[in-house]
Formats: sequence, C-alpha cells, structure tokens
Amino acid sequence: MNEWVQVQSLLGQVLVSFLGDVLPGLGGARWWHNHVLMQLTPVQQQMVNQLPEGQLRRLDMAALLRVTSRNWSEIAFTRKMSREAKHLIGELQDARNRYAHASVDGVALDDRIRDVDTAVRLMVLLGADQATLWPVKQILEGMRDDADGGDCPRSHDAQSVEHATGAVTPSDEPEAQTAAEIPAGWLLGATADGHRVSTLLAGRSYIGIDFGTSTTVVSALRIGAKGGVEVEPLSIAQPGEYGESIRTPLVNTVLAWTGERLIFGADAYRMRQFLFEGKDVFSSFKMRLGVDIGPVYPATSLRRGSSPTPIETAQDAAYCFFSCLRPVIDQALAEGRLASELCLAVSVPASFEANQRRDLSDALNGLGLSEKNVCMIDEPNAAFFSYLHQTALTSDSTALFDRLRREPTNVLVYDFGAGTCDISILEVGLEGGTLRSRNRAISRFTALGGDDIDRAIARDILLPQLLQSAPGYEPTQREIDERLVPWLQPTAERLKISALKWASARNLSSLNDYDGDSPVFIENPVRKFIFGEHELSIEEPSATLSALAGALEPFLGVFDSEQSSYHVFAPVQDAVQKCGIDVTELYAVLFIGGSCGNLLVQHAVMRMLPKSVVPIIPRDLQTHVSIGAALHSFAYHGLSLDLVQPITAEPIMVVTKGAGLETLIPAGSPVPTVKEFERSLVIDRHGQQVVEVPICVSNESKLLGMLRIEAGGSSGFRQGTKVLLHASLTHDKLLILTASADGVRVSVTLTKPLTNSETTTSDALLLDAKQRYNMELLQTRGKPSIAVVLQLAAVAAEARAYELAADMYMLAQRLDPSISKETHICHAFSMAGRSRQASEWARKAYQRSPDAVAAYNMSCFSDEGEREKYLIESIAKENPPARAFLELGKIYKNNGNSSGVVLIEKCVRRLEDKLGSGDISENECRLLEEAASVIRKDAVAARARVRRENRVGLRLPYSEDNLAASVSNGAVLGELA
Amino acid sequence: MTWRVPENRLSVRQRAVLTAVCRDIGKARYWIQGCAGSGKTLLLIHAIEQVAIRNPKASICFVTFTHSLKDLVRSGLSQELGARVKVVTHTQFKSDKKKFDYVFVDEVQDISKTDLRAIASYAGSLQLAGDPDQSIYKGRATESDINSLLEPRTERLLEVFRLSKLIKDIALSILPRSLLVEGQAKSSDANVQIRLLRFNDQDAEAAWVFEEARGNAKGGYNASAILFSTHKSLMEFSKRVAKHLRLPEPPAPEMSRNFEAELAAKSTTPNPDYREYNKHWEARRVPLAYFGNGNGNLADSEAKPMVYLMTYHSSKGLDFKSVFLPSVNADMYCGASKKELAEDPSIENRLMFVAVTRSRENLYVSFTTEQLHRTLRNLPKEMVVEASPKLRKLSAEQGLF
Repeated sequence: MNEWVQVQSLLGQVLVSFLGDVLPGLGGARWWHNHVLMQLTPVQQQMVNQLPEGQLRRLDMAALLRVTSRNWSEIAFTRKMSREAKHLIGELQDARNRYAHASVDGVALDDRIRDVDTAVRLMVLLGADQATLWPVKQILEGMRDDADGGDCPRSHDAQSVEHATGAVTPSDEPEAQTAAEIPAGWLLGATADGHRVSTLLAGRSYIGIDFGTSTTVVSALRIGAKGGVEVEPLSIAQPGEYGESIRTPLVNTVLAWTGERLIFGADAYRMRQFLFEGKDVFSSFKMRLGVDIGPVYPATSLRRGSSPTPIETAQDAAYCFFSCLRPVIDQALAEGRLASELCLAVSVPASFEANQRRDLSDALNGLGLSEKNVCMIDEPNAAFFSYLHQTALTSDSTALFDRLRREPTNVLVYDFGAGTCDISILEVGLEGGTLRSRNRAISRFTALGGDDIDRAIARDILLPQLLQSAPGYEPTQREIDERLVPWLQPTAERLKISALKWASARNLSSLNDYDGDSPVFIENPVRKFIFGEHELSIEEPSATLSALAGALEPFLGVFDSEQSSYHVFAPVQDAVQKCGIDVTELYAVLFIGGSCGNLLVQHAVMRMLPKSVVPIIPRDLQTHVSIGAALHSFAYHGLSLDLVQPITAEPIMVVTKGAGLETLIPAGSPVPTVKEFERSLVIDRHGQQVVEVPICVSNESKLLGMLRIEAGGSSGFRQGTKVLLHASLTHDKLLILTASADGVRVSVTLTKPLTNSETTTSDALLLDAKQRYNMELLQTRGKPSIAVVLQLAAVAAEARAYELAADMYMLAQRLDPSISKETHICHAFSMAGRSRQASEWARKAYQRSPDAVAAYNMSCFSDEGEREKYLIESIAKENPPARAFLELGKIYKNNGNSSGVVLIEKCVRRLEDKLGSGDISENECRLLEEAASVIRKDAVAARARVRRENRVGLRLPYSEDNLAASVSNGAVLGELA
Repeated sequence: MTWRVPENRLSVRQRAVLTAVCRDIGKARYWIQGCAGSGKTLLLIHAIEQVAIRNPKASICFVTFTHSLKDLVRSGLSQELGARVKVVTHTQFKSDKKKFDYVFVDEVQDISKTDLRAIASYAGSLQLAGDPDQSIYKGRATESDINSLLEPRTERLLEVFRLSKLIKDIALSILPRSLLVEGQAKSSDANVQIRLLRFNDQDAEAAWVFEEARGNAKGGYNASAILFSTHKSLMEFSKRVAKHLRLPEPPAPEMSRNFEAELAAKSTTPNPDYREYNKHWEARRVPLAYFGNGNGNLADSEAKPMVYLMTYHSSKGLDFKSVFLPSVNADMYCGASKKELAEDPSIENRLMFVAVTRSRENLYVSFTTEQLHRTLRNLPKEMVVEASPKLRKLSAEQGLF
C-alpha cells in the first residue's frame, strides 16, 4: 500500500497546480471563500478558516478532491473539459477513503491497481506534465507485474462479510475467523447426535422468533418421531375482543387498546378498522425502531404515568408486544410438553444497524428473559438454514447437497416483508459433514416494503375518491401523508390482495398481461374522516384492474436501472453489483417474507435473471424464518455452535476536529469483537464544557449516534485532557461505546441515532426538529409552542419539505395571529406547486403589509393589467426584488417598449455583481440564468447555471467547537509533500 | 381458487385413494367417503383431470346435489376442463337423459334410490363421493341402499383438512359417532373458540351480525356466510338488516315452480326464486346476496367482500372463513318436525353438524331466547366464549391539526 502514498502525493501536486490556475478565474476576488471554503464540510471549514487565503497546497487529499469535485461542472464549462472527469474524481474519493479506513487485511491488489490507474487518468486529464506522470506510470506497471506473478490474491472483496462458523468463544487464531466448519449432520436431518440432543432438550426449550413488521411467528424445536431434530411453529393463543382465544401460529404484530384491555395479534389486527392508528391501535412499529423522532404516537391513549402499559414510542410498542407474548409462549410450550426454560433466537433483517438492534434488544426485555438466553440471527441466514433443514427432511436433497459439496454456491435471499425488502447473497458449501457459509453482500436497508405498494394505491386510487366526497377541501401534503393515506391504507391493502389473488388464480405473471374485461375490485366503505367543516368518506371504494396495474407499475413493471428505484428488482441489482458477481453466478433465489407469496413479485424478480437461476419458494413462507431462528437457537445455546459469525462490512468511525475521521472498529472485524477497541482523542481547547463524539459508519454523512461528555465543573475541561473511547460489538451487532476523560467523572449519553442511511444534513435537521415537535405535541396534548413550530417550519423549508413548511407557518399564525408569516406561507405553497393557496396567501400578505415583495407576489397571481400595476409598485418601493425588474422588463419587451431591455439588464447587472462577489443564492442563480437568457447573454446564463448546480448548504447536527481532536492530527490537514 | 390443493400437496392417504380410483377407473366403482373437510370433492376433481388427460375424447360429467356446489366445482376446474366437463345438478342430469363415458357424483347420500338408479343407467363409468353423516334429507338412499344398489368399493378419508381442530371437536360433540381424524393443519389455520352471543332482541342481533359479517368479509373468495335453518328466518333477518340500514325491505322470494323449468318438473320442493331479492341489495350497494338454489354467484366474492345468506341445506359442501348462525333460539326449527324427530332422533344434529362444519375459522352462534337450541346446548365449556356484544358506534376520525 506504500505506493498509494506516493501516488497521492503526486496527484496532490497536480490538483493544487490545476486548481490554483482555474479557481481565481472562476470566482474573482472571493474565489477562496466561495469556491474553496464554502465547498468543504463544516469540520474541514473550521480548519481551513485558520489558513491564510489561497494556500491550496495545505489542503489534504480529501479536501482537494472535494473542492475539485464540487467545482467541476463550472470548471468543465468554462474550460470546455469533459464532465466525465467527475466520475474519476468520485472514484478517487472512494479510493482515498478506502486507504484511510482500510481493514486489517489492507486493500486487495486488484483494487490498488484500479485506483492507481484512475489517478493516472485524472492526472492526464488535468494536463499533468510527463515528469510528474512518469513515476506513477512506473508504479502502475510494477503492480501489474506483481499481479501477473500471481503470489497475491487477485480478488479480495473488501466489502464482503465472512460468516465464520465455529465455537462461540472467538479464537485468537486467524484461521478460526475464516474457516467455517461445523458438524452439520443434525441440521441436515441426521440422527446421530440424537442422544445428546434429547439430553439438551430435557431442561430447555429452544425457540426462534421471527419478529416481522406485520406478522410474528414463534417456532420451537423438538425431537421428532425418527429421532431427528424437528421444528414447528407454536400455535399462539391470542386474546379476542370478547375474551375468546384465537390460536394460530401467525401473530399479527399489532397492539390494540379496546374495552380497557390491551390485546395483540389477530383480533388487534382486525380491530384496526374500528380504531385509530397511533391512538388506540399500533402497528408497523418494528420499522420505527432505531429511528428516534421522539414520541411517534402523540395522540396515544396510553400515556406514561396514566397507563401501566404506556405506548408513546415504537420501542414502547415493541416492549409491550413482547410482554404480551411471553405468557402465551409459555402456555404453548406447556401444552406441547416442552420445557419451560427458554433459549431464544430472534431473527432480524441483515441490514438492521446497531441502533435498530439496540432498540430491539431493549424491547426484548419485555419477554423477561436473561440476556444470556437471547441472541439474534440475520433473517437470510435463518431462512437458508431452514431451507436446508426442510430439504433434508422432506424431499430428495441429493442434488442440492451434491452441488453444495461440488462448489461454493451463491444463493440470493430475497426477503420482502410488509415493511422491508432485504437482499443478501450467501455463498454456501458443504465439505464432509461441515457447512461453509459466507455472506457476500447485504443490501442496504431500502425501506421498500409491501407497505409502499399499499401507500401508492391509497394515494393514486383511493385518495381522489375520498376527496370527491368533499369538493371544497384541499388537504395539505402533511394531511395527505400523515393522516389520509394511512387512513386509506388498510382498504388499499385489501384491494391489492384481492387483485393479486385474482391474478394468481389466472396464472398471470403481470397485471398488464390481462386482455379480458378489466374487473373492478370493491371494498367495504371507508369510515368517515372529519376535518373542520369537511366530512370525507368513500361509500364504495373501488379500483379497476388497470388502475391497480398502474399503481403497481413502479414496483413490478418494466425495470429500468436508472429510474426504477422502487422496483422489486432494484435491490437485487444493488446486491449483485456490490459483491461483484454476475447474475449468472447465482444458483438460486430463495424467497422469504409474506410479500413474496405474491406471484407477481416472484415473476418481476425472476424475469430479470437468467433462466439457469432457480427460484426457491419455501413451503410456508410465513413460518420459514422462525424455524431457522429456532435451529440457530439450538445450535447457539444448546450445542455452543455459532452457525454464523459475521464480520463488519464497513468501518465504524469517530468524527474529530478538523474534518478528521478516526477508525474505531475497522471493516472486516469479527462480530462479536474479540476484545474492546480503544481510541484516544484529546481536548484541544481550554475550558471546553462539552465534548461531542459523533460516531458514524464509513463517513460523516452516515451518523450512527453521539457520545456527549459534559465537564464536571463550571471551568470545563483542561486543554490536553485525553478522551478515551472504548468500543465493542456484541454478538447481536450492538455497538457498546464508553468514554472517559482524564479521571473526571463524566456523564455519557448515547444519543439516539438520527438515521439509518445516508441522509443530507438538512434531512437530519428536519428529523431533529420533527422529534422536538412530536415531543412538544405529546407534552402539550396537541398545543405546541410557537417557537418549536416556527423552527420546524424554517428547517422544513430548508430541507425543501415545502408542504410541511407551509403547514407549520399556518399553524404558527393560527396559534398567534399577531405574527406575520403570510409571505413565507405564500412562498412555501408556491414552491410546493400549489398556486391556488399561494395566491390566497399573497393577497393576505399584501393586505397586511404592502411592501415590495408583497406587491411582487401579488403580480404573480394577477392578470395582465393588474400584473403590470403591481410590478411597477414593487420596483418603486424600498428593496425591490430583482425578479420584479425581470418580469416588468419582459412585459415591456413583449410590447415593443425599449425600456424593457433596460430593466432586464438592470436585473442581470445586479445579479452578475453578486455572482462575481460570490454572494449569490441558488434562487438568484436561477433568476440570473433566466434574465440573461432573455437578453441573449448566454455565457452569463450558463455560468449562473453551473454555479447553481454546485451550491448546496451544509450544516451538521453537532458543533465543531465541541469535538475532540485527533491525537495524531498531522495527517488530516498536513501540508502536502 | 384457494381450495384447489395441487396434487403434490395432497396427503399420503388422499394420494393413495386417488391412485386407486384412477388405476381402476372403467373397471370398478369407488365411493370416496369422508367427513366434512376431508377433501372428497377435491379428489373427484383430480380424478377428472387424470381421466381427461388419458382419454382426450371421453365425455365427462360431474353431478352435484346443489346449485351452489356446482359453482364451487366449476371454480376448481381449469379453464380448459371447465369447457369440457359438464357440471350439473342431479335433477338436471336426470332430465337431460344424456349418456356420458365418465360420471362423478358428489354428495351421493342426498340422492334418492330411484334417482341413483337413473344416474347409473346413463353413466359408462360411475364414481361416487359423499358422507353418510351428512345425510340431512328425508327419504334418501341410505348407506346400505347405495352399497347394495351400486356395489362400490369404499375408500374412507378420515383426516380433516379444512376445519380447525376446534371446529372438528365441536362437530364431534354434536355428532359423537362421527369419524373424524385431524389432518395436518396449514400454518395459517386458526383455532378460534365459538362465540356464543346473546342479544336482547332480534333487531340488535341482525344489525350486529350483518355488520360483523361485512367487516370480516374480504375479496379473493373470502366471503362471510350467514346461515339459517329456514327460508322464513332468513327473510325475517333480511328485513331487520334493511331496517338497520334504513333501507326498504327486500322482496320475499317467489316459491316459483317456473323458476328453472327442469328443476320445477322434477324437484320434490318448489325452488325459491331470490333474483329480485338479490337485485334489491345490489342496487343499494349492500354486499348481501342469497346464495343457493341457482341464485347468487360465488364468483362475485372474488373481486369484493360479500356476505352470503344461505340455508343450512344449501350450504352443504361449501366452507367460509367466518360463519354466522343467527337465531339459534330454543324454539328454532332445525330441519325436522316433532314427528320426524321421533322417527330419526339424530336428524337435527346432523343438520347442525353440517351448519357448524361450514366454518374454517370463525363461528358465531347467536340467539335471543333464554336458552340456546338443544343441538348446541352441550358444547364443552373450553370451546366457547359467551358475550353480549353491542353494535359498534364508529366515531369518525378528527383531523388533529
């Protein structure tokens, strides 16, 4: 890897010289501020702020690449250079991160060659001279020779996750982490271990719980008639509305508060149609674990303090659910003559991050089990064990096992539940009596679930029917998203199920294939929804087959990898790409999760794959995973065999001062961690009151959580105080973090993670503001304070959630009529594309205060004569908006009035000055672009456009001042050699 | 159609019976006996498929006892077979007087000796299915009549697949000598206690039963069924539902002898014509329909949630996830007069057995008298839950902000 240091240094020189040449030309006097400083992350900015202006050569590689990347469109435009270089820069940013956060094994030779090659290509593009290029080309050739020599492993997939199976206690020997060998006989139906198995089963019950978004299943292991291990789902007695018991293995993951009783399962699900989600019925709470936006049920009937079973958050709901399950699991075990001591494995989506696992683990306390008797297993692994076990027991498994013995086999596990769609690619093999299992890829938590399809039907088909019942009513987007669509969702789900059954009965592989008379699906009436003076209802909710096919099209229709991010095939493509294999290398697709029972889903996935790929549909989709979990429970708790011991796919890092990222747990570390990882940081500011330690996955845009250490006394921390971090991962992928600072007793709070996936900063801030707002709603029983409302409004506007922004501004005005936000509301509505409301609020704003902006806004909604009048009024007032000049100019120009061009030129001049000085907003760029085009100043227009495309504001949910510094800080902002 | 289990999912016993029937077809007559939910009709359908494949030119007829069963059988046949296999009621078959190479008769215990003889004379090969326990008509061929007349080889299916364990136990407590063995349940099968519901008056009962049945119904052939021992009680119930919905009363069926000519000529009882009755509800968008005697259509429940009203008699052979038995009052007429009861004391129990075994999962029995009808008075305590529910007052959702 030494060669990279050399290449990076040479690349740095090329970048510095190139940027130094082009940036001043682009940005004029303020190029350093606008084109460098403003393009950096806030932490980078803090450090660069301290540098004298123009010192490009003191930026590190990450900052240089970032500056180049963010200015590239404008550079490419002015220098007439290829836009493609942007891809190269992107690749190099990845490469830079790869070396900075490399796992203990380093970076594979293949990757290293590719990275150096990319560097050469970029350097050539940037016009590097031969003297600089020559040494890099030499390095590249040398590496290629090495590769041909063949003593290095060519392919080391840094993204892959090994599943080593071995003893539970992690061994220090490296072989133990990669060799995956367990005696698999009992799993594959053999009875040899029968005696031992029955001894183990005498005192304990091994159960598996598949905790699904919509359905939960509990399975238990027992010795079958032939002496082998058998697993069956337990029939769980669920309380009915009238006190009856409903026994079924499928337990709907729903809680309902009815008749002063908390019921769960089948009847709670049925009661959904009579109760209110979030008030007295709670469902889909699994999906909300780990994403803390405060009390997500502000309208709950079960408040803390007044109810013995409070449900204010998703985690409360999950805890209650498990508390309800425990006694009925005990009952089912007793009836099945199984032992009462429980050893449990719970299956979770493979992509569940530590925060989600942490919340689930807390909720599992509701079962009242000792922690050592509970473990988690990733759903795809559980599904595959279950499949192997079932195949061994019930059908001719020779062909499958022969294949597994012959070569490592790739199986893609497609798990499409109500709330999630998770894809994993397992590489499995059998050697002798042992099972080898390696997890090659886990797809991101895409949050694509059956729910999304229901919401699409509710929004596209049912919402218009609902709105027909109240012609004067125009709901806000927030009302649609958070009230009306959820209200319609159960009906949408039922329509979907009817249509899919209908299609299955006709063996249709797509709803579009049907050329007969389109049937109309009808549902029971939708209950009344009262909103002020409006009453909304649907007497006979209905959908034609073609309308349903239309709503399902994005999910099940033609797949286009560029556009179809909601398509059921998209996560497959993602996973396959991620593990670097070709689809032809897949042996089979194993479908699990309730939504896969849908034939159309199976077809939509399989038709994108080669014919050689085998679809595997378990006999019982809904109980399949819980059976695998029970098998795992037995192996783990009973036989002390860990069937799956994963390693981390991405590094866990800590953000330090000055754009620093320090690795806490490297990628490829075994889980659980063998020993604690340790990292020292230092406080570099005297009197610092708070130390914030943001923890992230891979990079700072994927924040996982934050440690906060507050100084004991009022004088704060001393400069130079060491901050010691300890991190470890438990078997269940829970991240345990501790921090201490120089013997000072510190309070450590693990803040709730903000997000499970990469989000923009404004999204994170929005989440934070929503959290505060929800908390406020709960505390004030629906009457939030103006400050919280206005804050949410402002953040929402910044995050482009304009509907929400408008909503919140209106709410603020309702709460306090003395504040004036009419113009804000008008703007938010206008940005949201709601011209009728925007016009109404423009009028209100003008009536209240007829200033230049209000007059201009009035002109937007007036007819021709009026329009001119308002524009003239606007430019005559103080601080007229630039746009007023343009609009009035356009009118004059069209009428042949020569003063039109003068006005437009005035507008362009004003904005061009701003462009030159750099202080120009995105909207002003847009305006300049338009104005300049009208008077044919195409070059100005184009510059405005590329400038606009480069500008995105950045703010982070932690403060740079509160960060700790890296002990070895030199690397981050060190001068380039 | 969900009830049509593919051949590879049949139980070992079912497969053995199917193999025997198909092997000997043309040489021997079989009588597939089996209780409610054991898969008799299913095996006949599979046998038909095999015969049709082996004998592409043969004429095939499926003879059912009721019109409603005719619908069910058709829904189980593939499109191709649907066009080729004639599905008729036994009365129609008789009046058609047409010969078929292969004839399959379901619910054989409900057909009279004379009619059976006639059917046999038009059949090249004849296969039978039926359950003597479910004989609910007077004057039909007994088990020994059928055996001596047609000399079939008997194969008995004892596993119950369609019914939950609890419903099976309930059925056994009504008709203890019935032979029922539990088959392997599907994972989604639920065992739900019977809900014994007492109401103060029949208006409240009708309103509650209708609303609950409608709420439980779903599209995709997941209709709810409300069953009555007589047409009269069905009509009374219908009027109360109309009152609850503030709609005009539906027209009573005409006991017409002209409704279906071929039926009228041969049928022992006049056939009720519910066409106007069904139109009444359809026009008012109420998902209610009478189903039976050639009225109503099971296929309607594919695209929308339907509530079917039926008599116990016409429900035979069908099953529903939620079944409601209203007005099971102490004085209910349960298929037999006092005199008839004296002659055949178990006839009432057989009819109630048929009614309760229509439910796959949820069984709601309601009454307004002091006591329940005698056929259900001795249900084991652990199988039932008693309640007096009130009609739900559905509050509307209020916009919060």
